[in-house]
Amino acid sequence: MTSATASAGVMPRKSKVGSLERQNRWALRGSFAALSVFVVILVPPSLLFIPLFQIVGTLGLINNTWVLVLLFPTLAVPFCTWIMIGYFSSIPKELDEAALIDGASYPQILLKIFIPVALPGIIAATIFAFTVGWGAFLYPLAYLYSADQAVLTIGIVRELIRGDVFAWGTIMAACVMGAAPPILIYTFLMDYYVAGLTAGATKG
Amino acid sequence: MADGSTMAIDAGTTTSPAPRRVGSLKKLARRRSTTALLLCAPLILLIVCLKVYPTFYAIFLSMLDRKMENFVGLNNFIFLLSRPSFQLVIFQSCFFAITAVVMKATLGFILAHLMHNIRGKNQRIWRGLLLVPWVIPLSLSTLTWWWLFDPSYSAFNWTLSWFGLDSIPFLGTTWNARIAVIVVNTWFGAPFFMIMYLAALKSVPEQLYEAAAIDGATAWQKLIYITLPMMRNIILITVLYSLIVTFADFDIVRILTNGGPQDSTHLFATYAFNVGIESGNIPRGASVSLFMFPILATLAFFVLRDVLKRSKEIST
Amino acid sequence: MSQVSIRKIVKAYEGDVQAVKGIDLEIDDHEFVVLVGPSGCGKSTTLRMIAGLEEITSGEIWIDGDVVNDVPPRDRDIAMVFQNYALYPHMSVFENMAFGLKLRKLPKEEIKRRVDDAARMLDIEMLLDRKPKALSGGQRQRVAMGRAIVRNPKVFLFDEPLSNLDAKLRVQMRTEIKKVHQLVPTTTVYVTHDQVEAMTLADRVVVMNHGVIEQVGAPQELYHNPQTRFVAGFIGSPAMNFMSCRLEEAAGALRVRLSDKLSFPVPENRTARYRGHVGNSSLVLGLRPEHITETKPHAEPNQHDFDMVIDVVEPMGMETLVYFTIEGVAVSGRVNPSAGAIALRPMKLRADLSNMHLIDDSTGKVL
Repeated sequence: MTSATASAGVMPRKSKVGSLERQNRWALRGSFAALSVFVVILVPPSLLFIPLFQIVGTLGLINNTWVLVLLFPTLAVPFCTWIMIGYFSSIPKELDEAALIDGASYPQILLKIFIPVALPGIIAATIFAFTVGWGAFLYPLAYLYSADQAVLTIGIVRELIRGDVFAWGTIMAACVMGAAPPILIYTFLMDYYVAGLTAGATKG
Repeated sequence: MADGSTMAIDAGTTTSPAPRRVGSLKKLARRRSTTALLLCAPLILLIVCLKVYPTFYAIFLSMLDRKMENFVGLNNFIFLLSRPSFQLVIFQSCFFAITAVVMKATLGFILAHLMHNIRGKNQRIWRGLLLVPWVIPLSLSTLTWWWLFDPSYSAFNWTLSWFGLDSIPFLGTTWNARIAVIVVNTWFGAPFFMIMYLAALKSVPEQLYEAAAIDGATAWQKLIYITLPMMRNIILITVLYSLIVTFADFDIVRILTNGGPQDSTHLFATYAFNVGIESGNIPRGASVSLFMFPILATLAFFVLRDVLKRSKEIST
Repeated sequence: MSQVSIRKIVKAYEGDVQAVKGIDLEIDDHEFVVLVGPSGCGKSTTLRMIAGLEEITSGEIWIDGDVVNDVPPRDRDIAMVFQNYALYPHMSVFENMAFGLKLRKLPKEEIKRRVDDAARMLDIEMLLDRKPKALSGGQRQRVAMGRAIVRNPKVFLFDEPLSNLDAKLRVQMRTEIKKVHQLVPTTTVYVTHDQVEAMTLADRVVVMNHGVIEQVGAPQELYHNPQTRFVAGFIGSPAMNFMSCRLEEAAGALRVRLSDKLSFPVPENRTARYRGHVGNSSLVLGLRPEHITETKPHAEPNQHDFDMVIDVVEPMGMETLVYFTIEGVAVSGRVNPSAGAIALRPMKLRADLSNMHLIDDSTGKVL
């Protein structure tokens, strides 16, 4: 299952997306312009994969794992944004005011107050981003075609199903292996995840 | 208040206040949004490159002919609309999205209520277990469902035959396949609704129910007059969000039926993949996926309105 | 240590809504000033302008001889205690208190010494390692104060710090704040909507309403000599009674008439002051509940008996409140618990007119 390594390589990227997210959220406090970004975020990948196919082709990146690293951030962005908005809105504004009076600059407030306080949300967003990246199906299916570049999800579907012969045992074993990492992570961080998901719910 | 002397704090060194920087508060406020914008910049760049530009490129592509040489205007769209197989796709997409979302919302609501009545530590465990379907990569769980539905090795059919019943071709006939797709999507999406509704339920003050109980409300009346109105917003936003995601769904149909039997379960996304990537007619594929755009834009508008409202809350 | 000087400051929001309409206030070194008023009167906005959290639309704020209008909060050398405490949830009590000092790059030992001193003073030494989540409301309040104290700032700002506490704790913390101010006599501006808090804590009370200052003065001064109807009604609990009345002049003496049957002679020493208002149709008599008591065996100057049917009796323990109606207006009095007040029965009461206030309702001014 060489494909597993390829998709694992995506993971750090994913957490970076998570961190980009919260910065975006902070911006929302200051500038409404960032909101227009949100409309765009809502355009789903299933609408974009065809033009992206052309673009990726032009760039010569077809069948290159790095194309996923480039594209995956767009997958998780809408939901991560949602999570983080909910989370940041649950931080009382007195907290930044207190920090302001205590003498913190804006970058300091972000680093020392916001990020630690919103950590559960950031973790939730990161888990989500990872899960999405790990389980992504459409982009790899469209842009990777050779076995040595395929990620796990595609690998299973493509390599283990040959014509009408289904190696069910192997397929299921692969599925379990594929599902294990997200479930493991999730088991340990479940509470963060749920807290992050629902922080916005009670506000909504 | 131990010692009564004034020694406390101001005894030792003098605090030298930070050197006073002259700059108006306005400038400070401006610096704040500049900082924010700067932090946003990478994300904005990413979005412009990978979302905005492709969207417009898709519109451009959809107006070319198959060889991508000649400009054909709206011909692709007109052609698609005249094809029965595409009309079926429109029907199937709407049917799938609406039914699946209603099922997910209902099931999520019921589950949330059941969970809400489990108290203490057990609730956490159940909640965790029920959220698992949402965490497993969709393509993998769909694969497992496929196995369950498989005509010859299917666990379902095996159970049926054990009871002496005929096996059912779950994915073999149009409506069976449609229902199967919706079932899988519901299985995958309901936990999300459950978790959101559970949080919303928890935020309804207990006193409201107590007041209603004293006023003589039945359990049903409490649900209608208190729970639903209090959860209105969260129900609305989850349904809208889920509609967008469900409309754009790809994985389930692709793996479970790949559009079959006879193209009767295709969604916009899978059909676009079929036409655009597999058959190599990229412009037509682009126009298929662009049909999603007006629907999604309408839904997105409502989601956005909620987000705007919320971020107003943040900034005040 | 320093003075704060507020000069004609205005806070206007979009749409010409003025939250603060040009107020002037001088606050002396070491002084404890309380801004009090109903919600929406502009007191919090004023405080936040001093803190630098709100922009000043016009006017000037001086701290320690410098205009600070354009100085960001971090450079104003102030400390603030918020209503919801605004403790950093991810930091321990120690870190919370040390945060401001750390940002100012004080040496470690110095920070530790200061935090320990403040913790000892506030009796929270044993809590230093805990997170705010593990503290009770009163303890959080102390930590919030500690965070302000360690900074040793020029000015302390308190924004309704006791509103989130239960009644008993509020009284206790009130005393605590006063004690701290005696130990660390930093110039303090304190905002509250609770007049009792204002009276008990302040060197000087500033009563605000609708964005303007109604009156500034020592607590006793405000209580005994309110200058406007608003102040008269706001300070004191239960509130002062207001009864519309007329002034009548007969043979050189003035009488204040409340109804056809009820009138009292105006104390002689006030005659000159009130004479010009005979015939004014918008007069209101203000009389505090404690100046309406049960009757007493011997007569006193300026005290006059009258009969009333009591509507409601509220025994408070050390005193009993009685309510009755004059010309459709509910009036309250404070009587001795042993005076035998019974609801719906007539009772002989005594009004002490030497503490009367006569208010011109058209201007709201106390005459």
